[in-house]
Amino acid sequence: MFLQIWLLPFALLATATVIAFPLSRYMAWIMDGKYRPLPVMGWFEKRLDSGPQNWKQYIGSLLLFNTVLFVFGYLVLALQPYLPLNPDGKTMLFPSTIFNSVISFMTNTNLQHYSGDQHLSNFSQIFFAIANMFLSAAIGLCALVAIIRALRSDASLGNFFLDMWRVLIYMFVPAALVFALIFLWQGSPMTFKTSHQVSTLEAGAMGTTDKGEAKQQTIVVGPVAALESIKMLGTNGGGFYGMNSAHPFENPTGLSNFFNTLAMMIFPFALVIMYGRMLGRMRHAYVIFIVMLALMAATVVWSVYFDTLKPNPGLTTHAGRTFEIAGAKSSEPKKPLTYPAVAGLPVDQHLGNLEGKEMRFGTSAGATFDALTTDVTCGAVNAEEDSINPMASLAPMAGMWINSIFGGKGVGMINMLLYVIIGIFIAGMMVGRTPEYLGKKIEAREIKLAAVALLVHPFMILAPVALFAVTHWGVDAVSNPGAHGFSQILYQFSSASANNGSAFDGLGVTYGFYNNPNPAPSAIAFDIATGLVMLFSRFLPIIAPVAMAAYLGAKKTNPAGLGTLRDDDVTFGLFLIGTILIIGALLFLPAAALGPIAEHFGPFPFGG
Amino acid sequence: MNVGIWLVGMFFLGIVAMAVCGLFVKACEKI
Repeated sequence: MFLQIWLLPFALLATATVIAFPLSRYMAWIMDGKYRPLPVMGWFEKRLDSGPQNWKQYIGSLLLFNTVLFVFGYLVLALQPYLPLNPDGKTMLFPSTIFNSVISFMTNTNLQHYSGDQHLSNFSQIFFAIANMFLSAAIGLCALVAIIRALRSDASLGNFFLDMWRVLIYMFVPAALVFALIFLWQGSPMTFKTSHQVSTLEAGAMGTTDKGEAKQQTIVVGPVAALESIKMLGTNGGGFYGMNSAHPFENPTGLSNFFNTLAMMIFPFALVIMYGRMLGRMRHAYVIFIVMLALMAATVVWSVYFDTLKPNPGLTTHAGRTFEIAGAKSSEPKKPLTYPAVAGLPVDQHLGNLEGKEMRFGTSAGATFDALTTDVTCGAVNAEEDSINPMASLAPMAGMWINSIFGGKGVGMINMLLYVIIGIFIAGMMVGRTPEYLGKKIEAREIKLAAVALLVHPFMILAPVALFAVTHWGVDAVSNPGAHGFSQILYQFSSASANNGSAFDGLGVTYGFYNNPNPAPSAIAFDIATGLVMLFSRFLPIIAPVAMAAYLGAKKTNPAGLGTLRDDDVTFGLFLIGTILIIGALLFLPAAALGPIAEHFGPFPFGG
Repeated sequence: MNVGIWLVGMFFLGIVAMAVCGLFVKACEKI
């Protein structure tokens, strides 16, 4: 039993750590331009390289590139009914959902207020979803490399367009090809066909026509294996199917589940070591890596432990008792509810909470995936997040709040750098010495930029959560009353701001096609609010740290002395953990108390 | 409301939001 639950998380953390070392060496080699390209590649790279850039030019190129991505993505989705590879005649999404989806994929979030298999044509899946998955994933990595060059006082931050090319062609394309072949081997479809019509074993299982004939089932297919590989490798997370990695075509077997989970971990793991290699500060990178690994292990253990409680408290506590609960909507009267409705059923849940789990993978695979997908800001899911035990849901939420437990490609390490700077600043103030990082003095401007970048994230979560929790936008969207409903709203904005993309799917946020007669009542409000949150939480915390690194790198390097705070020992590691927990996590404690913690300890449905 | 107005409105909201990010670069310069 112990092995059944804990072997998978341990194997994943160990394998990703082992792969991180050679992969980081390769990535540093590529990004430092030490490779010799093939003649045709070299010719192209020379033309792509528009010259060395300072931080403003680099960020300007990054923003311009993303603006083009926005326009292109918007056009693809708006023109979907008129574009090819759409034999099912899928029409246009409602414009607010197009706005949300384009920003979502452009910012590497992949929060989906639509269902891929129902709402997107294969053209949109390929030229909107898959294309953005490659490009948006590369952008964060480029920003990190620019910061590294600034911190080591290079003459320039490099060239954004050349960096994009290097990440895409030498890292993502080969890695995605390997993983796509694995998923293809395991059974994922890879075809330009859009669907199959099949007769169900049980005649009429899909209903009957007006003439009384049994309806056929439509099974949607497409370039699933290709999408799946970059979805995970790029920590994108947007599924071809609405069910994401719980769908048997996206994630057919236990082995594909292992590779699915591993794929989202390898680049974020390797980037931390790459940071050390490119800076020439390996011990410093090891300390950061160990801090991140410890926090990740903690979130996985927390998630798995609380989701495998035996007996499952959701089925045993208060069995048969009747509660009076408020309606899901403010206008509805209170109603009695016997909870839990399934208590006393002969359900063997010796592995813990099985609601919303894909049984092919087992309980711990769902809880493990939940924690990892939020730690590395992937957002793919192989189990229903809305169904995990309340206390277990605190782990994925904490992963998104801290946003640097490896985090997304590049941006996770950038966020950790902010904690490092703030931590060193606090330590410097405590001993009355001007704080230094890599021998450069941290002064008011650097701290202001780091603080602004760090505060964007909690502001972008807590302000809209408060607004939606007290207005009909939020109240009309939640599918559960009380603490769990609050958790649904909290999770939605946490996911948007962390550029994660997973969701408590009970929340009603789907408008669907523009001519849908019955959209979710708050769909437009959620589309616009989460769209803006994703965009600002993506770019502001990239811009400010790049500026900070540029200003820091321009200073002269002071040799380390007796009073210098070491950044490569155990003390620093513990200090860093403390900084992250106090600044990163405690900001969200009141919100956590109103959501998952209240649900766990409160009278409904747990506790008592 | 007309879906065409929504389509144009949402497009420009995205462009304006990107422009705000551009202004943030200027703000970082002045900090």
